Amino acid sequence: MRGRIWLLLPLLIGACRDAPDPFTPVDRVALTGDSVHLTYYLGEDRAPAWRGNDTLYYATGGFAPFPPSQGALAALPREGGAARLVLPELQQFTVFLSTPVPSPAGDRVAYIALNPLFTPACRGDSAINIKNGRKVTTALFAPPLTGARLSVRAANGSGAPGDDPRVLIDFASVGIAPGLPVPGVAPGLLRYLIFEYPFQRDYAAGGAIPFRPSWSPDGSKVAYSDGLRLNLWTPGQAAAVPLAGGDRAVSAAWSPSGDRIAAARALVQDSTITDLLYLVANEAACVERRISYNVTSTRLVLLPAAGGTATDLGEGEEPGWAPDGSAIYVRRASSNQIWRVPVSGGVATAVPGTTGGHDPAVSPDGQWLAFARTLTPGNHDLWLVRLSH
Amino acid sequence: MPSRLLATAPTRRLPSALRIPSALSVLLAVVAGGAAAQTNGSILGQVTSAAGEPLRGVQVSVTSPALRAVTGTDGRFVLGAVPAGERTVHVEMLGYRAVTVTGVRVSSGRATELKLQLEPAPVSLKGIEVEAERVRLIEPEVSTTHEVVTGRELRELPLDRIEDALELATGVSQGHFRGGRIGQETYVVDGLAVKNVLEASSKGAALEFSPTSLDEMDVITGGLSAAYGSAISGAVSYATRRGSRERWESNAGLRSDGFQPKGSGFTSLSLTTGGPLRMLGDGTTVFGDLLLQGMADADPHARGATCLSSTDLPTEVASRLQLLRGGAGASLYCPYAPSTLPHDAGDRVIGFLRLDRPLGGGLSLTATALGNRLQRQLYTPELKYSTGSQLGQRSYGSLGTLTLDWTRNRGELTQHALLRGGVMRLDRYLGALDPWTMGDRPTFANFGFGGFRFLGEDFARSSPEAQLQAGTGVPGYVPEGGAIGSPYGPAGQGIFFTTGTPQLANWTRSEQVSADVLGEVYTATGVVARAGASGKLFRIQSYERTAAANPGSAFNYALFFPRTASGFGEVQWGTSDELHVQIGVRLDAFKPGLDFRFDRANFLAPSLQTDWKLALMPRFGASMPLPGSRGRTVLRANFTRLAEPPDFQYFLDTTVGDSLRTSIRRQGNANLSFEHGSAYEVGVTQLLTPALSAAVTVFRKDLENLVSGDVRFGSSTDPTFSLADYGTVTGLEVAVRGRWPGWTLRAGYSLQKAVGVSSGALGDTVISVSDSRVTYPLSFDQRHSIDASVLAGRAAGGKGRWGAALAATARSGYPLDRRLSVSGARSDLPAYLPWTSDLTGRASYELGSLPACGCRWRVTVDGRNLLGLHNVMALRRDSGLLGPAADALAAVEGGVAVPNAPIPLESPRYSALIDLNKDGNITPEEFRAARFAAALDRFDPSLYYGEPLQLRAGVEVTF
Repeated sequence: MRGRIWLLLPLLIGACRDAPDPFTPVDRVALTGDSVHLTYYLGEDRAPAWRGNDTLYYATGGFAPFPPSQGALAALPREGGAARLVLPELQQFTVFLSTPVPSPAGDRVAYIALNPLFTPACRGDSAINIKNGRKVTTALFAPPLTGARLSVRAANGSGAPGDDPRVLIDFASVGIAPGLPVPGVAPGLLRYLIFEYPFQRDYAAGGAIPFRPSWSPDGSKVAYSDGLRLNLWTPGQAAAVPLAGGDRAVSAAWSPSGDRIAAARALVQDSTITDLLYLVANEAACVERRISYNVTSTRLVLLPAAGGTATDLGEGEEPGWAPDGSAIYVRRASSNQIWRVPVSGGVATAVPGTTGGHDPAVSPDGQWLAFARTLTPGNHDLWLVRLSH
Repeated sequence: MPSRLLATAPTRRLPSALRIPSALSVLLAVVAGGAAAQTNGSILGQVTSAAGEPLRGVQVSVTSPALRAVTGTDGRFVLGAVPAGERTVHVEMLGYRAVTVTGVRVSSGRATELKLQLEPAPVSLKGIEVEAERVRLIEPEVSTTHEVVTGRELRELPLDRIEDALELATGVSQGHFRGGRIGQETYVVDGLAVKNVLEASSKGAALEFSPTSLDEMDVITGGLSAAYGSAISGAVSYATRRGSRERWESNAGLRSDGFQPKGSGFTSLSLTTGGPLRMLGDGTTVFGDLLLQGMADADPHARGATCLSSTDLPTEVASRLQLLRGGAGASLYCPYAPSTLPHDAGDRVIGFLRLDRPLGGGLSLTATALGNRLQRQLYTPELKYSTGSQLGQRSYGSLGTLTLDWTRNRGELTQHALLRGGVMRLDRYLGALDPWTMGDRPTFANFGFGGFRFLGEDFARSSPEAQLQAGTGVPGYVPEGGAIGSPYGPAGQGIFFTTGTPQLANWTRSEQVSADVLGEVYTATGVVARAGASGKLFRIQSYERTAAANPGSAFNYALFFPRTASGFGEVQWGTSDELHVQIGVRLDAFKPGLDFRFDRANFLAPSLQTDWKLALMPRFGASMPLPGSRGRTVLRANFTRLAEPPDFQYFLDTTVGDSLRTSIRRQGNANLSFEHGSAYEVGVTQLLTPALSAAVTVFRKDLENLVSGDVRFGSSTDPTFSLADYGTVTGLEVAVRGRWPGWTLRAGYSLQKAVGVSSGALGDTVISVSDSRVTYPLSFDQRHSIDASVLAGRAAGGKGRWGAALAATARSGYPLDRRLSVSGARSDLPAYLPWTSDLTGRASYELGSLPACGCRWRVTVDGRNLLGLHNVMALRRDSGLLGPAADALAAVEGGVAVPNAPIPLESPRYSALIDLNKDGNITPEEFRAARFAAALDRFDPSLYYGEPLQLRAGVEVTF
């Protein structure tokens, strides 16, 4: 009989069992591994910047459910998952925002707001090069930037946006020049004069990285480029101060020690002039002159934060510091990869797993390198690779 | 020479195990065919000597309770007011050998007839014991159509609820009695009517009893006696158990399907005890019963819509489903396993206590107390993925009675009278559950020790003035919106309202105080005269708020005090050998106790006070053996005039409709009068073999003055409850009963034709008063229903170790759409729903005595829907299928625009389930596929299915 009683155990145990867990949808797969594909937006995901070790700020487009936008400021967890808008109160309307960079204390965010592109530029069914009479694909010439605004705003969104500290950036030599003579063209047609500085081309290739602001370690100043030179700005002041020795430098990156600023400097050849005649229904409609500078290479330079002579550290662009200040991570176009360049002058090494990488940013704990990887023209995604020491 | 019991009728059963001499037998018959609103019956008969001479002065007695009678000069006796159930009758007289007859079946309101012969015994010899038959195959004296479910059957059949046993009565199907609307029947507990007067038609019976707390359940579907009121279609009479006077008897039972990984989480614990309580005086007995049930899924019907097959959908929708199933979207087809579907947790507590104390002089006092707590989540497709935001219902029910009973047995005459007082309270709350209920409430085996809590219940129960002054919604309620938690992830936004709470807050409280008096006289010749009267005072409260989160939303609140009064008288005469007649008359009255304004659209219209409504109901029944048939054929006929007050909810404005989504309004009408009808039936019962009988009954029921919702008054735009519906039900019933050694059979078939002018007071269609009064098929038109139950082995009273009980029901479907079936406008739709059937069963095995306890124990295995049939209980009216029509689907599907651009993985709207090619982006094409699947899921027909196969193991200990 005792043996039969034991038969009841399964019944008693089963009877005491409580309700199973309710339904839980699993609609996200955890992102794991040493190389993580973080974002998949089919447009541009650029300019990753760390806020602590757990959150990445970055520039992206206004994908659903965010308001439609050419440029939106977003943040997402290092582990991946759902992104959120940074400073959403600024993004209720179609504004082109880019390069969000949190301050070292994380209490403020510096970002670039780009003015509307120079969309009044010439348009037509087709265009021909006046000089050689060849037909030109107008899609090659993206509308140029005309200006931008560097702003700083409290990370918690407090205060009226109109009261935020800001400094304006004016990109010169883009606009209407009705008096410009073009041989063989009737003077009655409108004419546009456009200087295609290297930063314009960089922008056209994928973002506002050249103007990316960089906080001083104490959070008192912001270094940035207006495309032609480096400037230092103390938020709250009306104007920025050019940094001596910072000519033709873009993509500023303030060192963790605060005494130096890394940047990229393009080496360019002489300019070339291209006059384009736009046609509408085979009738001349508009003339556009583009003055272009051909970039031969881009160099990583190191400047004293107080200004002075720049030190050339070799090929490199879009620099990002290692948190201990021992090295700078840069993109090298020649190898289409991210490299680690020792500041003290050692041998630069390519970072594995970063082919096609841009905009390197190392987490404060030095564990992860975030970067934007180009997949196709106009489509960058954010990636993470674990750094080995 | 042993005593002899003469057999004079074909219905008898003498177990061979008792080794009773073949000449010894007992006749049991039921006299007095009408049921009375009480649960007492009587035992009458005649005692003769071996030579056939009537014996005078023979003492005839029963125990529990102690009743005694002495035969008169013609040897006849009557024991009146014998509680229903199986009784033991002792017959003794000096000079004769005593006889004890066990298993004498006494039924409510009926007389059991015994004819006995005693053998002379000059010296004292040990008495003999015989067992009476437990299943009566033929009842020559019964003019009603009824089905008695005995206490043994209630304990042996695998019943989760007492209502399950109702389905085994011929003519009762899914709670409908002979084609009547739910609620047109009354429930009587030990003679006291306990109908849910407020909302029987929508909420059913008011109180629940544990199957183990009853001695008998009598289901009457035709020929109601004058003692039954407030019913048009039938009556259910419960006779509760009482404790034994001789010894304490207890039983504990545990059943569960928890041993199965995918069980429905059902656990039931039953405790029963009863016995003498001598500290309160000799003969005092007490009986207690407690039933606890915990259910992880109280309504285990769920299947997702996306699990439908192509044949369940219209052609144009089915092709899209095929693409979903066969292509890259296969992951959207049935995206969740059944075990992870949301559960409607619930639990049930039923406690019953009865105390019987003789007071001497034929007086006895009975006190009973019943308490119910029934609560469960209510499945709604919109909220099924939101575990913290669910609709739930909790019902408390309590009943207390005090009965002073006087009986005097004077040999051939028994006089009986009772005076009873009763109090009853029903409290039901329906609303959004407090998350505490879902998460932190202590539970064990899915049984919650605390009652459900609801958001803002205190506020909803506060005075209307306080609520208006507060000017807020019900605290805790959150407006609808959001989508988190759907199987399609955030991309299902707009379909699943999972971040808001349900929007309904509704409660009712019904309290009643009743008093009734009954007097009756039984004679040994089978004449019974009975008269009674009762009065009830009610206090009704009703509260309803359908947009509870909205601070400005209006609510309905009513407090009123209805009253009812009734009186009846009836006379029955005749015995089993001759014509038996029952004539009675009943007068019912009620007063709504609620003022009303005839013109609802005019605030200045005068307010009228409702008057008493009266209904006089004559009732007649007769039965007799067919001459020359030697009692093998019995004819019966009856006519009854029936009436019931409409549900008191019809006095009030009510929101009704399709799972509370359509918010169909009906304006209350406090001036409603009785719903009434007339019923006629004739029947014949034939004893086919000594072990098998069959009864055929045809009936007609004219229903008049039924509550309708279609008539509009004045300039009101909402329909107002009125009494405009009427109809006719005609039917045929065949009932078969059989008993063989070691097993019994009960089976029935019923077919009804039901037509009438009906708008359906609670339906979602409205017929304008200007519409022509077209006759539509009622719910039960052409309804076939079949029921059967088989008890075998120990379950049938056998002595072996094994026992088995099987119950099967099958039924044809309701008309799909009454109006369409008449107009023929949609010839593509089926006229009727499909057949459904199920088979339940229990096998038990006695294991003997438990060590060191002196208890006996047995193990059981229960199965529900043993054949695992996928019964389809409902179809959509727009498509005639389980799945929605294409346009209805498209309307939901189009509720959210398909995004122009892909949704990347980092978007809050991303869902890996929808990213079919797993490239990190949801393309518009993938989104459209998901929208289709999500829209299908929105039309979740989970409750369209019957319950699935469930197996439960159990153990019972008796001590």
